[in-house]
Amino acid sequence: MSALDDELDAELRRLFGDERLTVRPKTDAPEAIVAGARRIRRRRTAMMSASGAVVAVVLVGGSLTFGPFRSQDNVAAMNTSVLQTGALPQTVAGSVPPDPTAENPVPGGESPPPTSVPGSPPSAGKPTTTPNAPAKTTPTTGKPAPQFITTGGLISSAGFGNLKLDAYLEGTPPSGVTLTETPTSTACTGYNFSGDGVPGAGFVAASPSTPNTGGGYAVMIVPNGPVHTPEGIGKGSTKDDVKQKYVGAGENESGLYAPASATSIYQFAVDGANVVQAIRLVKTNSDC
Amino acid sequence: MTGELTDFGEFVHASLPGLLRYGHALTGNPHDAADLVQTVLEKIGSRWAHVQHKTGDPLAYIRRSMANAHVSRWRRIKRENLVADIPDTQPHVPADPFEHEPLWQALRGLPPRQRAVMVLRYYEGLSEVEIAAALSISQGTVKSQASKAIASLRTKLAAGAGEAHPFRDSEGRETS
Repeated sequence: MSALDDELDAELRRLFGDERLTVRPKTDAPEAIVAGARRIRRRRTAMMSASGAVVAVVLVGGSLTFGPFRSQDNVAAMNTSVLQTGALPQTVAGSVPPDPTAENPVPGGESPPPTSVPGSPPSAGKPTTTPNAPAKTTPTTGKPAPQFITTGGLISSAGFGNLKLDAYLEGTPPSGVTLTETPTSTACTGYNFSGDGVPGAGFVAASPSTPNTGGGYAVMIVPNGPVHTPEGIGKGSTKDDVKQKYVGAGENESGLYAPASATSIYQFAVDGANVVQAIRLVKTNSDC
Repeated sequence: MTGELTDFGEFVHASLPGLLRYGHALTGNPHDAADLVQTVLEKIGSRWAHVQHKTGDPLAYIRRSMANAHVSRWRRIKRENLVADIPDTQPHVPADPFEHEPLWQALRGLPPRQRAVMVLRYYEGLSEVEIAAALSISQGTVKSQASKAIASLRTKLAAGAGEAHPFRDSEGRETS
């Protein structure tokens, strides 16, 4: 280490030890924070309790710590709206009362009824093909046929290798999968995953615990490396490819998504050129 | 639930000043620090019993969560809602006290992850291995991010020095 390095090191330590970093909290700030925590918990409890009425997606901004979407250097260059499900028609917070005493919770791990993911999801195992979206696929438009991407591991509505959506993660890990809990700032528990049981490493979020349901079930799978869907969408696909492949694909100011099943969606991180960079699989009634 | 949140409230009372200071170091300004702390604490508080049970050191867990949240652009999207919900929770803060500190200004120009690596290293005193675990990135990435950050800081400081001393070149050498 050079003298210049030593000098900069010392200067950084001095700066981060400076008293002027002190920020004085408002006197009522702790109470406001506790109230906010209570509100989040009530919302979660109400959502979990309203099994029949829950029709929407809450993937609130808590998806803060998830895999490639935060770890890639080019994240700032990505469309800032990618991977948020705010486009989906209705939010749970607005659809259920905030009464935490509501009963009839969703049993942990039991799939809720179909959600409000726009459009019909593709049939299991059968890719949704472009003829279902003729306006977008007619040759007169000049748009090229979507590339069929097979790069990387396969992510499907079932999950990623042995790591399945809805898998219970607080007991024995899925075969060949190593889980390491990692901090998140969301209501969900986060784990980094790796091992022979999955095509690659990544991040998985488990549903939050509630007084009634326990939680701990995989609700979001975020592979670190490139992956592709059974329909051939992967890194390098374009936004148009996604829309041609999936009936029900949509986007809003928050980003691009497509139905994976009746209860899950794919979310696509696209760069500034509208090219898919990463994919994650998300349970549509998750509350992270 | 009430007892649990009472316990959480006591924790917030005790830890809030330190977390705000840490947030200030992470974000570069007291307003974003307040927002970051509030956002993370509310979510942690909503599952406080779980966090206490799962982590031996909730404060360390919260600090790591703040670093991750700061790195993420997702937080900025959510922030608007939270602030709108609770408009009266921002601390009283003065203007930027480091306005005239060249190193502080240079730090503010770093990308969030590079800045987070710097803070974890120099504020928290974590090793490369610990930083890698905290941010869920590889040790190699920590090294490269730290290296880029240091290089960027040097360049900015040299440029700043050059502006202040017009008879020196970009590397601080005297010119004729």
